[in-house]
Amino acid sequence: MELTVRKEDLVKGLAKSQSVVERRTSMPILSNVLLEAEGENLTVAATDLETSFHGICAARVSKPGKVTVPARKLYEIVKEMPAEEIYLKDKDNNYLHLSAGRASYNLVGLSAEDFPNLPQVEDMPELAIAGDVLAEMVEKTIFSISQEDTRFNLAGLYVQKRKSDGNEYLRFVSTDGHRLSLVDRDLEGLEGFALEGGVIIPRKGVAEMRKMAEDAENLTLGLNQNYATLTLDAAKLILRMQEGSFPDYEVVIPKLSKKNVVVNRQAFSDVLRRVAILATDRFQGVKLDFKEGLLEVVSQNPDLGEAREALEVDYDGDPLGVGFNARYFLDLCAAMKSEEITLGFVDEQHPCLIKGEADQGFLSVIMPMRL
Amino acid sequence: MLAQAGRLVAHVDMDAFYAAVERLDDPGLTGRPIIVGGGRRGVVSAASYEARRYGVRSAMPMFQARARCPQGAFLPVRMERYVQVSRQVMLVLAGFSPLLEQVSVDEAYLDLSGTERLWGDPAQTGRAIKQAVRGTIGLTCSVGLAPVRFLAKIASDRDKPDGLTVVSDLEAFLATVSLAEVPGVGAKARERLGAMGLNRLIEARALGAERLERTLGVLGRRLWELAWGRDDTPVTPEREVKSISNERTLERDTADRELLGAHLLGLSQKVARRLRRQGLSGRTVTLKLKHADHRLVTRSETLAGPTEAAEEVYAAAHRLLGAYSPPGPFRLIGVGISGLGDPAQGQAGLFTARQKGRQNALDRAEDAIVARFGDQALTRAGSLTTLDQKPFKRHNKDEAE
Repeated sequence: MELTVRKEDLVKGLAKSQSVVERRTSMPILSNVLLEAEGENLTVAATDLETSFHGICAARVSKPGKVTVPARKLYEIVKEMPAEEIYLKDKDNNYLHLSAGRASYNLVGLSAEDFPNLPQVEDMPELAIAGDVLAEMVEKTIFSISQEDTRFNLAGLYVQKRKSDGNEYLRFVSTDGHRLSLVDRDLEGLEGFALEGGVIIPRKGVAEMRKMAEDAENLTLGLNQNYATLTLDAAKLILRMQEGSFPDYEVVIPKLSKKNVVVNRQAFSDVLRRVAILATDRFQGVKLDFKEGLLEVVSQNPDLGEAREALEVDYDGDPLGVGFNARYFLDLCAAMKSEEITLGFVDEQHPCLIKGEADQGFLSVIMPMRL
Repeated sequence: MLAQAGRLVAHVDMDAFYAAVERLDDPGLTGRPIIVGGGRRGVVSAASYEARRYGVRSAMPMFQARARCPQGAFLPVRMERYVQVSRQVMLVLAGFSPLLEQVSVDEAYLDLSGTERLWGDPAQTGRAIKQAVRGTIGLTCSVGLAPVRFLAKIASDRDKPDGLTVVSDLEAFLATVSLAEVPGVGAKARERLGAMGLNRLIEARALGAERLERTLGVLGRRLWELAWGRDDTPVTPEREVKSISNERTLERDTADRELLGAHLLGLSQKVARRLRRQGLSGRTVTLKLKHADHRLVTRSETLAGPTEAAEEVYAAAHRLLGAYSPPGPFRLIGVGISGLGDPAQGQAGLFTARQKGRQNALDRAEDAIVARFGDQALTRAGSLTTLDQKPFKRHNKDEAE
C-alpha cells in the first residue's frame, strides 16, 4: 500500500472512528482501524463487532493494499502532522510508515487479514431523513435507555413501524424500567420497511447515530431485522441489532389520567434542580405536592436537611402528593421543547404521563418513587 | 507530636473465650486442658491456657492437638452459647462508656476519655472493668489502656491471661512494640521491613514517611503515623450492618458447577430470609469463592433495583459463578448482599410492580413457615445435595466493613 492523502480528509474519517473503537477489548485488533487503498480512495474502517463505521476519502494511490494500526495513536499522529498532505506506505511485519514535512513515523500494526469483515448490508430498505428530524427523535429517547448491561433488552432503542389510518410512521421507544419515552414521526419512504415486530438498536450505536445526525443536513437511514445503517456522504455507520425482546411497553402507558397538571417546563426544571440539591444522592427523591393552582417541591435528607419551593401551576383537583426521582423529570424537561407541559396522574402509585403541545408525537411515562 | 492529650481507649479481650465458657458451663472441667474445635476439616478454634502449655494453638489441626494433649477435653464449637455470653459481657462493658465497639465475639474497644471522675485513673478503671466482668459473668479478661486505639490492643495482649496493662508513658511503651504486634502488619510486610533492618515499630521513624509509603503503600503511611504513636481511629459504637452474607466451607473441594450452583441456591435463600427478617432489601450481590489453595476471590453484580427475593439473589450469584472462568476446585462458596436499604422505599419499577406482588406473597408465606418451624423447615429442591457432599460449616455474617 502506498498513497498520499489530504490531512483534513483523513482526520475527519479517523475522528468518526474513535468512539467506535473499543478501548478495552479481548481482541487487540478491535483497537485498530483498517486502512484500505484502492482505485482513488482510502477507506477507513473500525468496528467493535456490534457498531461499525467506514468512511471513504479521496487519495492518490500509487499501490493498493491494506493495513491495520492502533486507532487512537494514528489519530493523534495525523492530527499533529505539520503538513496538508500525508504520505502513507506499508512496510514489512505490518508496520505503517507515515510522513509529512520532516516528521516521519513507523507505527506497529496488525495483519489486515485478521481484521473482522464488516457486515454486508446491501439491498437494505432505506429512506432519506433530515439530520435535525433524526437528531430530535434520538434526543427525545436516548436519555431513558437503560444504562445497565444486565438488562440487555432494555439497553437499546426500540424501533418499530406503525400504521394508523393508512398512515405509516416510525416509532422510537426507550425505557430503563423506571421511565419510558416514546416518539412517533411520519416519514416518507417507510413502505419498504418490514419492522412491525420492532428491532432494538444498542445504546452505543444510538449515540453514534446522534453524533452523525447532529451535523448533517440529510442522511440515509436503513433498517432491517439485523442491521441499522446510517449514511452521510461517504461515511457509513452499521449497527447490529440487539437480540432479545423489548417488553410490552404499551401496557404501562396510562390510558386515561384523572388529574392533569399544566406546568411551565423551564420553571419546573429550575425548581427541581434547586430542591434536588438536598435530595439523597442515590435516588434524588423529591416529593411533588399538588394543591389547587400550586405545586410544592420538597426534598428531605436526614443528613443534610430539607428544601422546599413552590410554583404556580394549572391544577384544580384534590390535593395529591407523589415522590419522584428528580433526575427523571430534569432529563425529560431538557429533551422537550413545549413551553407548558402536562403531567397526568391516576394516583400516587401509578405512573405519571407527560406530554407537551409543541412536542407532537412524543410522550413520556415516569414511575413514582416511595419516599 | 504525640497523641491527643486526655484520650483514653481500653481494649478488652476475653481470655480463651470459647474454652472459658465451656468451663463456666461445666465446672468439672476446671484445671483440665480444654480444646474447642472439630468437624471434618477440623481445626482448633480455641484452647484453654492449660492446653496451650502442651503446645496446642488455635487453627492447629485437631489430630495434632490430640497428639500433643491426649488428656485434654475436646469439645465441639457451640457458637450460639458463646454469642449469648458475649452479649452479657458487652452489657457489662457498656456500663463503663457508651462508646463501646464490639469487634468480635470476645473483643471490644471502649472510649473512656473523660471518665476519670467516674472510674478514677486508668489503672483503677482497668481494675474496675475486670472486676465487673468477673463478678457478673464469672470470666476473666485482659485489658489494655492507652491514649490511642492500636496501643490499647497491643497492651491487652501483653499480660494474658487476666492481665492489665496501662500505657502511661507513650514513648517508653512504643519503644517496646515489635512489628509483629502491630495490627495490620502481615507476614509479607514484616518480611519487607525485616529486609530493611526493621524489627521494632519505633525504628520505622528513621525510615521516613516517604520511603515507608514507597515500600508499603497505604500501610506504610499508616505505619509512619503509628511509629509516632498517632492513631486517630475512633471507637465507633453500633456499627451499621452494611452487608449480609452466608458461606459454606465444602466438605470436599469441588469443581462441580452443578453442585456449586445447588449450594448457591441454599445460600441465597438464607441471605434473602435474613434480609427480610431485618426488614431490608439489598442491591449488590457478591459471590465469594475460595480456591483449594485458599486464594479468595469475590465477584459482584449490582441489580437494577433492590431486592429481598431469594430468586433474584440466586440468579445474580449464579450469573457471577457462570462468568467466573477458572475451573476450581473450590473449598468455600458464599453469597453476600450489600447496598442495603428499606424495601418500602425507593424507585418503583414500570414493569415489575405486578410481578413483585406475587413474589412478595410467596416470600411472606416462606417466612411464616420458617418463623414457626425453623430454618430447616423449607428447602428448595434444587439446593439439596447428596449426603456425602453435605457441607459441615455454615457461617452467618453481618459485616460492617
